[in-house]
Amino acid sequence: MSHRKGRAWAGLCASISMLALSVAQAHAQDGSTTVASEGFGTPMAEILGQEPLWARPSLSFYGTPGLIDMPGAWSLADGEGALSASNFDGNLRLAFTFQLSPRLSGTFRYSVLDKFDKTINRYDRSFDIRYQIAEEGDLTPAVAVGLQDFGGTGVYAGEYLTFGKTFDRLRVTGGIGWGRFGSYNGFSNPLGVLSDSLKSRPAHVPDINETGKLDTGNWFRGDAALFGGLQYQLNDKVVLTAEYSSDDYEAEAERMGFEHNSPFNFGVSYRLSKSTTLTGAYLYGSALGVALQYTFNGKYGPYPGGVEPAAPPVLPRDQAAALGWRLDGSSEQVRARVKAGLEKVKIQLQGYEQTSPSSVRVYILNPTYDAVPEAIGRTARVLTNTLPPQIETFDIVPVGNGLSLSSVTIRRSDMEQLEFDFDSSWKMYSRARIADAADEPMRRDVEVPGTYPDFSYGLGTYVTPAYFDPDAPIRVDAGLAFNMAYVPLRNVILSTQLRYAVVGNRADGADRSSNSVLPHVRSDAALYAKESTIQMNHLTAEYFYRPGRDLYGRVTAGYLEDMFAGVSTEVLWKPVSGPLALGAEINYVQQRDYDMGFGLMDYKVATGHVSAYYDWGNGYMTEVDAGRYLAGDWGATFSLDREFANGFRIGAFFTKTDVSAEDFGEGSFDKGIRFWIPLSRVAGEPSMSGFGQTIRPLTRDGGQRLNIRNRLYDTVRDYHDPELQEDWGRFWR
Amino acid sequence: MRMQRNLLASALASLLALAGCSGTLTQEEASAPAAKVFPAVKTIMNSRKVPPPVPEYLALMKTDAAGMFSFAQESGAFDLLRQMPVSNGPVSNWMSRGGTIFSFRQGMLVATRGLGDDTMEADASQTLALVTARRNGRAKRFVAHLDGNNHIVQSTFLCDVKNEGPNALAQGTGTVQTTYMTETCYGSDYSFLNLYWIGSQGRILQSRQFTGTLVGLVTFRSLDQPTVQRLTDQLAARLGTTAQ
Repeated sequence: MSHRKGRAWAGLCASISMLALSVAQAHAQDGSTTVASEGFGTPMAEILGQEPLWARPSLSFYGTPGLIDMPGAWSLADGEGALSASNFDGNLRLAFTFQLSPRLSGTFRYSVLDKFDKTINRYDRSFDIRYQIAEEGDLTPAVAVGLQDFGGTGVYAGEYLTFGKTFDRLRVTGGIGWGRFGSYNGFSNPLGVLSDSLKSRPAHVPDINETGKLDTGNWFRGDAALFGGLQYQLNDKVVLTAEYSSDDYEAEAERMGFEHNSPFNFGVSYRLSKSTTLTGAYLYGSALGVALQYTFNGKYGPYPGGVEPAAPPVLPRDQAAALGWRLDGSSEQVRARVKAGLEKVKIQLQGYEQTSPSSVRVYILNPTYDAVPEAIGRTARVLTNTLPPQIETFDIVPVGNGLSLSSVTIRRSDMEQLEFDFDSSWKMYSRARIADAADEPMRRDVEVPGTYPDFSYGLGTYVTPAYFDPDAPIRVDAGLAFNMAYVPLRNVILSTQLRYAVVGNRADGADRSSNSVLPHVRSDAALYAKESTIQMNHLTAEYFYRPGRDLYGRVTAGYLEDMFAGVSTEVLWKPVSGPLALGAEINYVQQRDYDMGFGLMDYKVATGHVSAYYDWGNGYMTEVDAGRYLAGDWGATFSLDREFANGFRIGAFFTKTDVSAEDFGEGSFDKGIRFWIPLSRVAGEPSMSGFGQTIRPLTRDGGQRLNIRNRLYDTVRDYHDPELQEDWGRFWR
Repeated sequence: MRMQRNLLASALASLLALAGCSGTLTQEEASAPAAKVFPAVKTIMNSRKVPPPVPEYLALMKTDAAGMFSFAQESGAFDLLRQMPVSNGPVSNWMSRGGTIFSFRQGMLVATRGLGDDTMEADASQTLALVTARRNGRAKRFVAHLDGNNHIVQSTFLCDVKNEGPNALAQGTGTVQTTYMTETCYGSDYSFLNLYWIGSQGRILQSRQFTGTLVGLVTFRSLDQPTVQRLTDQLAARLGTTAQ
């Protein structure tokens, strides 16, 4: 058998070799012509790394655009992120910088200063923000202003204004700094002309409990100093840097024995790959340092547009007739054809209804395509290829959690005409009608038989990290997750998730018990990890409904999340197109036992928020939630997210409540960053999965919200404009 | 003049080769492209597994659908494309084993689905008119690609179409006389060179066309039915045995 297999394959290969040879010959015969003509073009230049000089700014040891230790004036490209790690003489810095807009960038940094606090290490978390005041012009320099560790009292606190100019392969940077950046050879603050108070800066190395306060009173205060440097791009791989630093490293010298012998730093950066750079440097006349930096762009993954198989091409009615293919049949037959066609493109037909002699409405469940227009486009092609010829209009209603999320009406003749039309995507979008589907709930009589009740279950794996415990910067649990759902009616979901940690060390965090003076609504997380074996992450009944036009509703009861059980209800107002949405949520919850079983503890609280969501376009989204938090504190959460059309999302939030900084404890108030990396961007195939995290410098008990599943805004948003329009390029994909 | 042009070309080619720019044929590759082709064949021979085709392709294997040979120059990947029964007007659809569809308007690639950086639509009618008439001239080519952020990016290329004279093309066991046409396209971001071998009826028998930045240049060649059948049988046998 294996012999035959080998022969058959050899035969195929031989045939292919012959073909390949003949193709090769054809090329060879015209060798000179080919070369002569091809000399002009570099077709793949862009993706093969033929970037212009200075296509990407260098990053400093702080992980921000800069020289070695000093900030530079250039920015990353819009949507670009940089992960970096650097170390010199006991100063370890891990940083993530993201260019939130063409001019605004933010940095989160986790640093370990070796034996900074007598015998123990200082684990320091800091946020930076910087703004490009001016881009570099032909004659004018690039200008940037930045706040490093803008809490204002942190170890790395410093502010700067920096200028940069490019002269072909040479880049010159010069700037003025305050705080850390004004500590070497400083002079009286020139801003002192504005106010005498700016001439002095409350100088102290902060106690650990004072960190995290937003002390705007310190910004740009105290002595200032000048810094500067030169960079030379030797070739497309190597950049040489020399800088004059205005940082005297006083605290490090005092506490860690760091030697500041010279203000001059020298470095060599080598580009290991398109995205990775390694820098070696000699700093302050005493220390050798190394930095590794990785950059990526949130907008573009390795497979632009994805590599999933094509959708079925459009079968125009006249061609079907010419082929002798019959598209008519009884209603059941047609429905069965549509259902089978949709299954092939991984979409579930839930309901089917002929609404007039020439129109059909379908209800679809999209478990596959993170870009909704791709699901709509594939559904429209299946309908074009399977419905009787007299049907001219399709009303496609995507269903999520049993709710009709929107209604997209498409004309069959547009599908036939526009398939290979230039500008087909935009034409299709402008001819499609996108409307609210409040009046189109899926009735029982149009339901595809066998859709409900539905029972499903699955076994998977999970990983849950916990960050920034003083004893271990990252702790991780990993194990098995079992999910089960029973859906008796389209909008009623009974479900649970159980987890079993196979490996992990999160429970070790329980050695350090929470010192919070507030109710321990979150700070006992390690106790939950320690006391539980099989965790019941949720066990809930959910009910979804449409109270009216533009309105969506949810009621959830049961074990709502890891730490709380109770009842949660929410209403959302969100027109099918438009930037604004408003919501209200009320929950009454009781804290769960640490073993994450059925037991409850004594703590009960009524918590809830009113929320305003605004989509500013281009993927900038803000959210404000005001109300009462789990510890009974009142306040508001402000969030800013940037989401690219491909689903890559990154954002930051902070919460201020009536809990004093003292009562809150370390960090002073709740804040963090969050991100979502869609699997489709990495794998090149559509998927609803991805990897997301919310990272807080420290999780305390103030300003904490309930972690309820299936909040309405995220359930409906992708099925509305402007999201549909932003992804519409995938309609014909 | 011709000499000078070649000198300049080889200088440029060497530079590009030095820069590691494999998107362009270097002098060596142009004079001995078989060397570039053979490693790929070897890879196929050594690979233990043939990835199973998508069900739609398996169905096409059971029919006498027309076949076309494709060869991606960058990756060295070969495939046997099969014509799908479904077409839209003059546009025909051809499926690869992996389910990628190439759409042609009279031999001119107007769309791809599944390659990555897909050509969502293209208007190459001006080039088509020149190429099939075997005339020199300048054509505008409009192309739209789907980028990594789900946006359609439209670009316009200015293309010089040139009749390079007669050229014998191997087909089946013999050769067929064709006219060899080149189309050099210049765009704001990049440029590329397409090649066409035009049969006596003005039909494109073989072409090498730019598909996008991810896959690059792909050679397409029409096959006669016996060859299609032979390759299909061999592929079927191969799949049948690996299935066990």
